[in-house]
Amino acid sequence: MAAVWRGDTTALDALFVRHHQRLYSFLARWTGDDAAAEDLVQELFLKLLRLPGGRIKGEVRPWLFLVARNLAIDRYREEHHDGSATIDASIRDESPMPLDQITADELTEHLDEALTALPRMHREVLLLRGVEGLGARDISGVLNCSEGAVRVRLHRATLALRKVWRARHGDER
Amino acid sequence: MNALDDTDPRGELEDAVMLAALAVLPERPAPPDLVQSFRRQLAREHQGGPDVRWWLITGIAALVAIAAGGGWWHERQSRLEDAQQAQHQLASALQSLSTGVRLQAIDAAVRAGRHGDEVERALIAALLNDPNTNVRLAAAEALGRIARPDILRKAVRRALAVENSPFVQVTLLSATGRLPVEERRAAINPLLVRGDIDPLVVREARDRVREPSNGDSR
Repeated sequence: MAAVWRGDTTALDALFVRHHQRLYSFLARWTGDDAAAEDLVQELFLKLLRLPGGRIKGEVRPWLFLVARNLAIDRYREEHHDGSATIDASIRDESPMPLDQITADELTEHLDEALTALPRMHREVLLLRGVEGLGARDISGVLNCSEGAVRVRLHRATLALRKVWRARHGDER
Repeated sequence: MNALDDTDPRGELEDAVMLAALAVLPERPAPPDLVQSFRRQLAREHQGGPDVRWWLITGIAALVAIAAGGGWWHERQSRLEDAQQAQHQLASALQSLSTGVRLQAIDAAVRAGRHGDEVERALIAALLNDPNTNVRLAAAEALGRIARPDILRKAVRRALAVENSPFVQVTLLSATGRLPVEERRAAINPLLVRGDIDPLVVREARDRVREPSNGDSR
């Protein structure tokens, strides 16, 4: 990162090649918009060259997710997205698919859909913890909240995901 | 939030299965030409960079030489004129059509570490009016570092009344750290009376008005 902040575009290119795939995947799921994710991931790395140096404490990867999330928030605040999600009633006619009867491929496919149906505040904490494997401390830095708040949000997000899953694939209590 | 019973054993099992599945969820594949697209953008951003840097560096050198009382400008009047010219060059660069040039100008102003009226005015104009979020962000950071306290307070107050980017808002809040507490409150208050602010930003603002000052006023 020091080389990037000295304006070394070769170093920036290497950083992009190394991290762009994970960040694109996160942003695509966070925004629900592949085209926006493509723009945002490029904007993120171009932005790195312009920031005054020495801004990272700790590892680079959580910090990149922090910047990515903030850029996405900016973009979607400007476009007046409220991040709320509704369970689409039109797809409730899928045949029930309890978790103990589902194949791994089916689970992956439908889990991605269920994530998309969640409000962003739930989706992002599940993406950071469940998909990206960040710890509570790193997530607290990305979301700018305490570690305790991260655990609460993760718990609520898990419950919400369960609710979405049941609404789509099984009985909802 | 909802009425789900979170002690439901079946639910706990479902959660465990889903969380385990999340850990191995395949990536959304990035477009195959994304790297090339980024490289093209990077090349465009840096077109004309060296030429711009040359005269910006000239301006910086003038300001630094004046600060150090550098004798190679010989006459005091000559040094003042060159300082004014350097300020003018930086301020002009802040109005460039190129986002990259505007950002480099802000960076040059920070590195010079000096504040003249013209540069401060140009930075404030960038903060309030630039259409590019990155430029407004850089201007907020620059003012936080080099602007006089009274100028900083007024700029932050005006910007927080109208700025919609949470990123820039948080940077403006951070910039108030070196203001005395009462001045900081006056600067932040326009944000707290708005009804459209991200709750996390509101919390940050409230924390800021309670913090002791962390810098000396210049």
